[in-house]
Amino acid sequence: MAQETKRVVCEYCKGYCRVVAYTENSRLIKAEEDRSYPLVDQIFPPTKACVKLRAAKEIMYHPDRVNFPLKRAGSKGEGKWKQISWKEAFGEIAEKIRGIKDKHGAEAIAGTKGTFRTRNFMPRFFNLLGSPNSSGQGKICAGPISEVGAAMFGWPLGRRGYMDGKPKSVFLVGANPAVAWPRVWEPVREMKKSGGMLIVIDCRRTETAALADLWLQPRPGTDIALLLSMAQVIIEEKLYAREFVEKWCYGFDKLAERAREYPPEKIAEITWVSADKIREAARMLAKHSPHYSWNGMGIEQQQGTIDALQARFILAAITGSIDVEGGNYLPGPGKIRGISQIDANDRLSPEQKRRQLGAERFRFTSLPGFDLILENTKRVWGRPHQEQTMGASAHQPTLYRAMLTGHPYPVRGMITLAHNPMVTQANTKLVYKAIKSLDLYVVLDYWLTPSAELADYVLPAASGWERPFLAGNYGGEQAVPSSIPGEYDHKTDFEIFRELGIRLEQEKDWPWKDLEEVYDYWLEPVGMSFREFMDKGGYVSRPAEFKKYERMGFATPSGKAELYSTIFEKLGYDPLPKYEEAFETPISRPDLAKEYPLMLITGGRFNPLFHSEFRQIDSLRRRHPDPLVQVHPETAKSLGINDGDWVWIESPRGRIKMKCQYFDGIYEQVAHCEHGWWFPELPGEEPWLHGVWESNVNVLMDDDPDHCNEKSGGWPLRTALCKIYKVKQYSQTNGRDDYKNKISQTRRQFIEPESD
Amino acid sequence: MVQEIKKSVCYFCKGYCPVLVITENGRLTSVEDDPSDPGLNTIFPRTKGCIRRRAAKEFMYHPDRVHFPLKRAGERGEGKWERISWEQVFDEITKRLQGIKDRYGAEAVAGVKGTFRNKSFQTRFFMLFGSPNSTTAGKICYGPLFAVSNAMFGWSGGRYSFPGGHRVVGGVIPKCIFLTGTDPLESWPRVANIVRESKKAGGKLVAVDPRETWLTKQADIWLQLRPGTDTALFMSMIHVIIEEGFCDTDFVEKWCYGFDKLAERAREYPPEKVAGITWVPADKIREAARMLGQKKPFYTWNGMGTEQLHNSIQAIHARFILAAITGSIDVEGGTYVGRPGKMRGIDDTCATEKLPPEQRRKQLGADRFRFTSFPGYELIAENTMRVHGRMPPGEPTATASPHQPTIYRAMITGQPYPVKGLIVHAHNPMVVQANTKLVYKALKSLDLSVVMDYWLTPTAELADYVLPVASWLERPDFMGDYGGEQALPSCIPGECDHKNDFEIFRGLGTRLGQDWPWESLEEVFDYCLEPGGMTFKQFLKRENQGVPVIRYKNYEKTGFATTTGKAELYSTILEKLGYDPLPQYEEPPETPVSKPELAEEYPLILITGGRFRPLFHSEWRQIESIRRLHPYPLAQVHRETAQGLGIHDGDWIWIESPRGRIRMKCQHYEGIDRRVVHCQHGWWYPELPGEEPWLHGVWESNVNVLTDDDPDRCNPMTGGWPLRTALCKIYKMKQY
Repeated sequence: MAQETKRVVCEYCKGYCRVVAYTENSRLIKAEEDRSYPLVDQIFPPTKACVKLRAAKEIMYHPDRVNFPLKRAGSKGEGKWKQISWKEAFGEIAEKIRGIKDKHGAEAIAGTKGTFRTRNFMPRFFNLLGSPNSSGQGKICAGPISEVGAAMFGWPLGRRGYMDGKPKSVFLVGANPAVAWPRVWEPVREMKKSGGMLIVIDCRRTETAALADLWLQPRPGTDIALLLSMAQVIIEEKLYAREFVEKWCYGFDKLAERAREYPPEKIAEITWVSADKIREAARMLAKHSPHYSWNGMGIEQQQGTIDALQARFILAAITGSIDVEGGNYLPGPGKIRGISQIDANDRLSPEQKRRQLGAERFRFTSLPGFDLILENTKRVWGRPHQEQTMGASAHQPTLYRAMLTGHPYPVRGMITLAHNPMVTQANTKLVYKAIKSLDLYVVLDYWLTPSAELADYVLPAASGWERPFLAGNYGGEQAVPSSIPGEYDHKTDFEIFRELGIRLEQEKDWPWKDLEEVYDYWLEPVGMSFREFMDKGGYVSRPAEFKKYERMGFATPSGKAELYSTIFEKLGYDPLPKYEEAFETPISRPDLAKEYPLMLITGGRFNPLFHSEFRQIDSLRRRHPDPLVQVHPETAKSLGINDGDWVWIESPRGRIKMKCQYFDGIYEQVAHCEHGWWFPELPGEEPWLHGVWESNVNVLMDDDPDHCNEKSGGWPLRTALCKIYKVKQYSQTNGRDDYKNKISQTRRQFIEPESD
Repeated sequence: MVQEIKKSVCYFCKGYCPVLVITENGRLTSVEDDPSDPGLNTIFPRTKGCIRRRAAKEFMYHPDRVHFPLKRAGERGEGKWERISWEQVFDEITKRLQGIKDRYGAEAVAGVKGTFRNKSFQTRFFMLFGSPNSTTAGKICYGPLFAVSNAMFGWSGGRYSFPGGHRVVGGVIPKCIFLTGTDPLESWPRVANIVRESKKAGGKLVAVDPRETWLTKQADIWLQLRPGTDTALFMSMIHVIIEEGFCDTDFVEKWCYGFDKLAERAREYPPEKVAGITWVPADKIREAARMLGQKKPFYTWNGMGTEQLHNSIQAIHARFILAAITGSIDVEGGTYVGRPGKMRGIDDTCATEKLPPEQRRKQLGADRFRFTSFPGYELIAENTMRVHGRMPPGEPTATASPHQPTIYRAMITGQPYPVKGLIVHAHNPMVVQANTKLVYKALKSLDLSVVMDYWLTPTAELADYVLPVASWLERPDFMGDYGGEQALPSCIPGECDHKNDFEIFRGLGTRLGQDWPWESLEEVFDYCLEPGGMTFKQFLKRENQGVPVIRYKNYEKTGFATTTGKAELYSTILEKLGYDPLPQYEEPPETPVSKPELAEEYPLILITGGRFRPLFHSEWRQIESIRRLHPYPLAQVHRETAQGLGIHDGDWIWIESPRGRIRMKCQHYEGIDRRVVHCQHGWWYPELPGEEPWLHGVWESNVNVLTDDDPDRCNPMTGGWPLRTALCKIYKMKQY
């Protein structure tokens, strides 16, 4: 019996913990924390406590996993599949892509991608194919933070940079690292222990907010106003870092002028945060700077996301918290190459770039803005700052509309890479129609998700255990084979795009035969092969260098930290942040609020589930079997809803049902719905689609381009109107109740009045 | 406070009980049984004990009822509605109907109707419109019984074939009863009463049913057959009766046609061989045949169990042959064939004769399923006109009707021609029509869909217009031998604005230039009563309503109204239509015998449609007091079968057929064969959202998702779809 241990990077959440995988005869037996990984103790909760990791074997060998390429055997959505070989799959898909390209142009093929479950070779394939329409979740997930950072400071602010110094305070906006970011949460705990301040902005009293020294609870969607008002206090009270501002900031005066429009007294009304508290927060932040600041999806997914991020970064800049010890580190490029250097962005012709869907309207996180930033980052750093699907993706709502209407041009084919748009894309009803209208839909996934159920081809993806990993400065080995004859035959996205590419005249452009060769290429600048890198521990530390701007300036058009963004200006947008009421609130739509009086927010993370994953994993699902909506007890009681009742949540776009959870850490006017819900245990064929219509919050959310962020096109997941009411039930669907008594009672009632 | 008491006829089930409606200031207070009704005690369970009757007020004023005409305001199925006036309804719909007619021909508009909730003026409308494509559920609901009786005996007693006529007032209690595929306690209160009375008087009862029911428990002999094999069983009983000399030789010689050929055919069905087909032991087949033979004449009737088989016509034919050769036809204690009454009925207002022959020929499915469509109807009508001067009994929408599965296919494919418009009349095809997935696609493809109903049913949710219909409480009624007044106004300004189907079809028809000489339902009833020299008002005042005049052995005077003048055991009409003139058993299309390879995946036989109180078809799910008594759908599975699959009594299970899957609660039931599963029909959930994809939970537990309506699998003579035999598998529902 061959036993092996391998060092692997776990991809079950955003922690990317390094773990040790134990295998026997090429089968995964268990996975444990890797104590040899230098940063292992900077993760909290610790890797060893992770229930997802403990479920690794269950996930890897789950009977529902897609193990071979599947081809649709019935009509679309009928749940009938035929197993085919990879050769057939590649041949047929490539032919169909060629057919669409010949008929409608390469731009008629789109790509979507979820949060990392695969490496990301999609942009390379699409750029070489000639289509500008590959997209990721970047518009609502870390794309904004990356691109605003790059526009203002010439590089995205680092996630882990502050670990190189001790911040005096941590400022978190719409983030709950206690649940979602184990690598952020441990340093926060450290900082607290050493007497630092934790300031949290969140409209819910999250696990993180509960531990804050100061918690500001704004009305959902008003973060920009709150942040600008804090800037106003800091400027007015001259609490800012004068030297850094004068020497290294661009546009301070114009900012000061803008900030004057946001006095705390006025903003208190907008945000529901008292003027005193705004002042207190501003003073605390200024006093305890340099500070480390971080935001979560709470602001990335707002309608005003770009302005909110800009305002947050302005606070970091004017308090002198940029690229200093204990502040927000600007890492710059490492020596090791990454995906952004092989995305073949430059191979896409300018005229095809101009055809990117949504780029004309949402210019900032699409190719126009991306290319403007690239000019600077390439000039100063010699490297792109970001990969294309994060920083410059096509606009998904526009893509889906093009599929449906053929405008501005037809989109007839789509490849979905480890993504589940039927669950995680806003406005599910529209997404559904769009996907159903396609001529070709290919899904690469582990499971037959609701999206995969609508596909023509479902390709079984290799998971993190079945491929090597390299990102930034650390990596992991492949623990188990991705193919065991007769048992399963998975492939990585690299292999899939390479094989498709080879069949579509991209042969010369895929010089690497496998992922390890790609990694060898990435590691070339440090003079190591991937094997050597892993033999040396699979991790290289990068010594921090602070205040790099003093040496090379900021990689921006002005060479300074641009509070006033010349890139925004060039793209035709307001160069400074500005608060605007979101499209669907009781203030912007008082008419609608009469019928839908509550504000709906969604997306707060909850363990042990992750996005739309793990619903089929018994050991995890049993810990969280039902979707929950958090409602303030007073609100719920006034509607006759008990804790634990099933309720309908209805928005102007549809309704879903969830279990009501009494939660007094939320405003009485706000309801929070969990995201990512589908029910793998329900049938896959239509109309079930694994219960995608039951409790999927995106049925309620809007993606109308008119309501998206005007710069990025991000769709507003954090503000909508809704109402809730109790689900009428004649009996519990679970539990065996007394139906026999009911039948005999019926019989008695019918027959008894008769006297014989 | 103005209190009033009106006599009325309750339509909440097939009992049609005469009732008293008590109102206060024009509002319903309660519905009571009518102590003055001479038929009061001919109903069991008694009207007095009826839970549905008690829920009348809840039904009448239910907040979910459709009270005003609705027009679709969003996309089809989006659940968005706009209230409009009746004027607008009539103008817009007639314009759109005319538009379809101009472009595609009148046949491009179809009509479908459910079991009686209205009088039936749909037929007249369609005949005058020029479309042959108006139909009911009749192909699977007493259309076969009527048509076979009409073909064999030249007339059919229909409801009146109950012994002694409609009710047993002073009538004859049969000494022997033979009932197949029915459990009258749940569905036919008048038949249940006959069974009870007969048993009390020492009568014998033979019941045929694959499930144990109230009836089979009363039976002296219960034949628990394999679903779908009724024809073989009856033919074998015929064989025994002939072989053992139980025939009524006089009647057979004088009045039956084709006995020798029948005897020859019956010889193919020796009990030993048939036992293998039907799972009924040979001895039991003999015993049952002998009991009928010895106790003749016997009364016989069948329920939907027999009507909804792939073999329906053959089985009913064989059942009537059993009655005929034992001399149990049109005699005291037997099955009444009857003759036309003096009065006219709604059937006589249908204007069938106005539909031109070239339009008749376009009737969908009529070329293939010729017996209960125009070809068969016309052959039968020749005989009834010749002998009785009247068209055949039974609604033409049942006995001269197009084939619904063919209509839905025409909507989807445009073959053999496009069908673009549909009027649905108190019917819920999304729930009660087989093969829901196909019906759904068809309904979604229409240019115009009009639904007349009380509720926003799953079908109504897919309509362009939903028209609020007056219930029996809001219209006068005439049942041929009894009737009722209008008890409640159908329109209360600001509250409701219902119309009865006569008013609706007349409203549409007159705007299309059709001939509707009567202005109100009362005038129609006056017309019906004219031959008796009475007005409807006078009729209502008459004492002793509902006691029909029974005259046995009418054939001795006129002969049977058939081609040969005899009771046709060997049907010359079936022969002329190109069918086998004698019953012949055929294995249904989807059984472990006909599809052994499919049975490997789907090992169980699925039957459906057994009636259960207090629900009725797809109704009552939104009426609290009723629904609480029966909150969820049940699938009956033999305890041992269920336990073998790890399924406990009361567990939710999936039932899957080759066409789809649904979930129901499993009821361990020992009164069913281990190889058979029975699913309740009619399930949807009004409490779930109406908009798509919910459609009030129509995909959750609706057994018709599982049933088939493929024309290749329908009864070759009628096109009736096989609801009582399909293959399925069951498994436990995973729940966290």
